[in-house]
Amino acid sequence: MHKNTEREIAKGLQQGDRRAWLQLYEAYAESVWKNVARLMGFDCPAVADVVQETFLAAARSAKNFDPRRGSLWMWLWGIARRQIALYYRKQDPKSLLAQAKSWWDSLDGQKVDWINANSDTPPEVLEARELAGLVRFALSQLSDEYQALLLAKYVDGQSVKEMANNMECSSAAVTSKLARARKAFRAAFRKLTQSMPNTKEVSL
Amino acid sequence: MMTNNNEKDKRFSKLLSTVEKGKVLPDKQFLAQLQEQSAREFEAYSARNGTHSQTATISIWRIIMKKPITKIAAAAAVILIAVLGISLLQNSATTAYAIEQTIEVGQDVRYLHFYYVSPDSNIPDKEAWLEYDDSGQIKNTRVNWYNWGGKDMVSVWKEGKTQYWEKNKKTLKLFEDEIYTKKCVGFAKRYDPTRTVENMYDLERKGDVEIEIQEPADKTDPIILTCTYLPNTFITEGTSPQVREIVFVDQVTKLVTSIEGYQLIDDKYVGYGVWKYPDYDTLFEPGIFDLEEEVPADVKRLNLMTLDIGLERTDLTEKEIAVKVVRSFLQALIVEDYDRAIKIYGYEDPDEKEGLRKRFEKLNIVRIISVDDPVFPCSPRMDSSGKLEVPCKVELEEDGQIIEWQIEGVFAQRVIGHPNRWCVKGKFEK
Repeated sequence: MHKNTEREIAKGLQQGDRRAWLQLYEAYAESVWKNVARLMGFDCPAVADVVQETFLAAARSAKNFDPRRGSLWMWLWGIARRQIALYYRKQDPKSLLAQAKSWWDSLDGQKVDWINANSDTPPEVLEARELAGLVRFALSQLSDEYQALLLAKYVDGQSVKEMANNMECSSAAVTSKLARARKAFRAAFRKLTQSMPNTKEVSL
Repeated sequence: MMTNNNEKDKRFSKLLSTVEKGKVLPDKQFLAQLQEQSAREFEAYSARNGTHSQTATISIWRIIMKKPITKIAAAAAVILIAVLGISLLQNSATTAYAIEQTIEVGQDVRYLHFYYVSPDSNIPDKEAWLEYDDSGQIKNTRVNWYNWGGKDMVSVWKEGKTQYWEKNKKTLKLFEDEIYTKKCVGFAKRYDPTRTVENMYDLERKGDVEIEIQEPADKTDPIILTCTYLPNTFITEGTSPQVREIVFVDQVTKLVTSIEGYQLIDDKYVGYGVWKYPDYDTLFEPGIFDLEEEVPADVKRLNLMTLDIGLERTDLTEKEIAVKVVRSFLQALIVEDYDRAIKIYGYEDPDEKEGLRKRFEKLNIVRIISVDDPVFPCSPRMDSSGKLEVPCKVELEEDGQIIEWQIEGVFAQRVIGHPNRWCVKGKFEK
């Protein structure tokens, strides 16, 4: 979103202007839906609930949105991420994680190289539902900013320049943050696949 | 063999794109209805500037309940609740308390006041007030430090702007700074007891924390959660020792009343302080988040945003700019360009400039021997973002002799309020 448009929307939100809200919604509703679905799974029936809760919470606090604290997208995504976390807190992901971990353990090959992108991950592994689950869990361990950056660059295919424009920072800063985000993702993935919670219960 | 970065990016992209599995387009009808309903919520809330619009929420609930997938999910939820109900009844014989209760009641708290007491002390060392907005985002913070390293300070962060009152120095600094904002948000996340407990709970599910719950039969005694963080889990980035936190929860309200912190040192848990939470949702005094009225008239106001100090970072990395500012500063001293040296050194109070000039004039630096790779200056438990220690060695003339001087404690750091500028800090005293 262009900086001036973003500023206008922010100003409108502070003034309680309905048009500003609609503009914000138009700009980001689908992106929120898409990214929530990516982190929860497109087949998860709670996606709509989380999107609903996100926009309601945003509508209630939009008047206090402060552009100096970050972009509109990062603000909205922060709320969405919190709603996703609240949803997961009420679920029990342990068994799903344990299943995915067993599947990962059973694979042959240079798994570290796959995660570090030093070699190609076999297509049948990329197709597996369990891998998608592990990637989602790993992403959910990251900060709002790292999540948003990784999804924008590697799933939406945005260029560093576009991302720099959106984030109002330099391309060098985006590149550097992306490097840290990739590192954090790999660490989270390794941690998930190395030490799963309650593995004792599962193995018994 | 060297791996091409583009190839690596493509591979990483394939890995991450697995989250697109089963991708379907957003439900346009639902989004259209939510647009209207959320706009009504926005208008209602903006106009009322207070209470939550129940009508809008109910109608949105209806939108969702009309969806076939939701009906199936709702049916499944009823069955799940029935099963869980039986399971909870079975468990209730052993423990009635669940951590989720504390997280749940804490979600609605908007005003939080708490303080920190060091071991063997009854007087608060730090006191804080936090205000959240209705979406649970931090809105305002205030922290008072009492005799903290011999200083009394107050920091108020409101709408991205900070007022920082150093009572001993009689100064009130005013600035807007992205990293300071992140620190305030981080402070709230770390010390808000609900968020602390949420974090513990999440870490427990990952296996990084062990939580033991003691629920006394006497309802006037608190529930005690003993949470042991495994090494390197207390702070997510960097290393950290094994830490134990003991959380006291009121049996009736399920709210946290205090948290005691311990570190494992030589196989013993040594207390490092207690956070006490006496008030939840007690409205604060008006003006608590504005120091302008509170500070005495003789306190000097320093607007850090108006200072023209430091050097532009341009496209340099943090380490590169750190070396550049230190080198430029030393070169300015060598050629006796003290105005430039003072500008690169940075100051907060323009009245300090004369003192700096006198201090720098005494240094007869004649040559830079080395400016080495910068390092992070503090322990991993502290946030060192935007500050690096730069080891450097110079030659100086003293009593007609040329001697080498390894200057201790030279730092390069971001200029507060000017994210793209860096300056030098350090005593520069032999």
